[in-house]
Amino acid sequence: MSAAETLSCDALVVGSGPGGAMTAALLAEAGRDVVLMEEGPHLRLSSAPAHSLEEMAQKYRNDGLTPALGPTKVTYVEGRCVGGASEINAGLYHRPLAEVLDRWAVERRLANIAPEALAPHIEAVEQELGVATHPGGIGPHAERLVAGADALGWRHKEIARFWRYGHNDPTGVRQSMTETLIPRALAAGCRLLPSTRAQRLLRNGRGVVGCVGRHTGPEGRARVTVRARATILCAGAVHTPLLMRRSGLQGAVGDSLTMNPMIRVAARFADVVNDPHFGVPVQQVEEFKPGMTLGCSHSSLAHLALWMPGRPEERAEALQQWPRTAIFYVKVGGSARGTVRNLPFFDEALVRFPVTVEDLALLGEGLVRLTRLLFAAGATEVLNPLAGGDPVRSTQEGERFRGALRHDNVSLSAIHLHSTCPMGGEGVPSVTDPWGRVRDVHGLWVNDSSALPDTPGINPQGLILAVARRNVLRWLEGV
Amino acid sequence: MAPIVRALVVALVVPADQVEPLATTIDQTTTELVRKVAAMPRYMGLGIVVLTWVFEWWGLLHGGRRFRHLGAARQERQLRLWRRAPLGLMRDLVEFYEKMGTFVFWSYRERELQ
Repeated sequence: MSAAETLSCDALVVGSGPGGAMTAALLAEAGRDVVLMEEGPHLRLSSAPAHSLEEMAQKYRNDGLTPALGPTKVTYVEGRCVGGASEINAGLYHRPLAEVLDRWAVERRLANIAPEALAPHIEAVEQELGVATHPGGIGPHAERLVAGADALGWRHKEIARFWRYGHNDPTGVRQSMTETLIPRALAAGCRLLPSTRAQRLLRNGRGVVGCVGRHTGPEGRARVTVRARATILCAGAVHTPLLMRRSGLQGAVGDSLTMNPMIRVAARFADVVNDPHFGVPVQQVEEFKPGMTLGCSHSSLAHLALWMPGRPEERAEALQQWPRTAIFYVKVGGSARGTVRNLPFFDEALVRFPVTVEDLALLGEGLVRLTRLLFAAGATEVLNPLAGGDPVRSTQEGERFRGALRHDNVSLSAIHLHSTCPMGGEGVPSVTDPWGRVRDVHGLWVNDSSALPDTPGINPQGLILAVARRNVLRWLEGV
Repeated sequence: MAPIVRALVVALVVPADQVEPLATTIDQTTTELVRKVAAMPRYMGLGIVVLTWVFEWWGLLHGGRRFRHLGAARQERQLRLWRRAPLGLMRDLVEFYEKMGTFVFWSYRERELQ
């Protein structure tokens, strides 16, 4: 593609992550003429090792260096490739929590998201994509979390993943969108436009009739105009509102960003806990959900190095003990609401998220609990994640995390962003109606994590897929 | 920019006795860090580039030479000053190169050690 091009279709889907892939596949399989526009390249799932520098360069937005500004530093990551976040995440699958769905059903007047209404879509997602636990057990890292939780009487759970294992294939394949729904969409005739950034929506009075994009390829850049009867935004919690705001659709769009701030700690044990061949450990403590999750994190040498304090010599010496060291995390719901705005002159998102002192207090409480768990599991030392902090060598010393987190002594990360275009029923402040249709705008829908009313307290991919499926089937009924 | 980043990587990330034997890894880390800064959101990447040059010339004002030409002890002193600076941007710059440099350096080391 080197010259300007204009396409027409029934449905234009912007963004090919879980929401967009589900939308494109179902619409194409129902006989609709679908164009799927994706800013990033179309790569195989196996194009780079998971969590590697190459993967970050190929598939992450800004190489994985995307910050949310505020009093506390929070970095988040987004996929920027065909398949979106599903190509770079661990594929964790968690059934939506009934208590959260019930709350949304009442507070947001969303009867269609109550557990019984969403159940058939959740089951369909589980069956169609494939959800499984690791056939080889949970691995030595997660076994520590289990041992600690059992010793303290805390509920825990092995989290299943979007994964398929063969009879003689203990490695299996992550069921990312390029392995599942994207091929289905293409087989049904969907036209995929990779490496094409959506620049602005085509407006027609109070309606939207498509989108203008910019394709970047080996031949250079080219303008692409797609005219569509329906435009469905699935570009994620940052870029869906960004595109709307850039196109003059503002109001409450991008005003209610939620995310789950997370802090990681490395812990040392007397024996081996880190098996680099096992992959991402999948055990989580359920005791404090949905407000707080304790879990295990990817613990490669490079990731461990990040948590080793001291001079380079001390770090290198400490890393010689890497098989006995592993990373754990505390993740909380996040009480704050952030914003997504266009940054003038830069064509980029300005994401702001004001982590509150309550969130910091909750993370501190989480560190106290995690420390208690780790020493109950046999840890000999917990490396202090706070700037300038000494290592913690006992449960009693771990108590000092309570109230110790300040805006200036901690760096947080986040992986799940939501709620920038929340859905809601009549009378509830919302950007879309309960089925994802943007209020007061003809021809425009939102069908991704932006539309979730709040943080769901779990890995949201299964929920996003289920809600997207529910919406598309409703649209196809023509109701 | 690359020579400044290389000097920062050596000062912040690499054990002193490993600088010569790991010269190739240090070069790879430098290239990757420069590439990552270019890939950042531009409003941040531009800020880091400007601040990196300020850091470089700060050495001339306070140590008689630009940072990359200072001896190890004076480099350490400048880094200590910036780590404790009242201005958050100065602290953040050192933290960025230390953390990101550590991650990239050990990513390459991990590959070499496998």
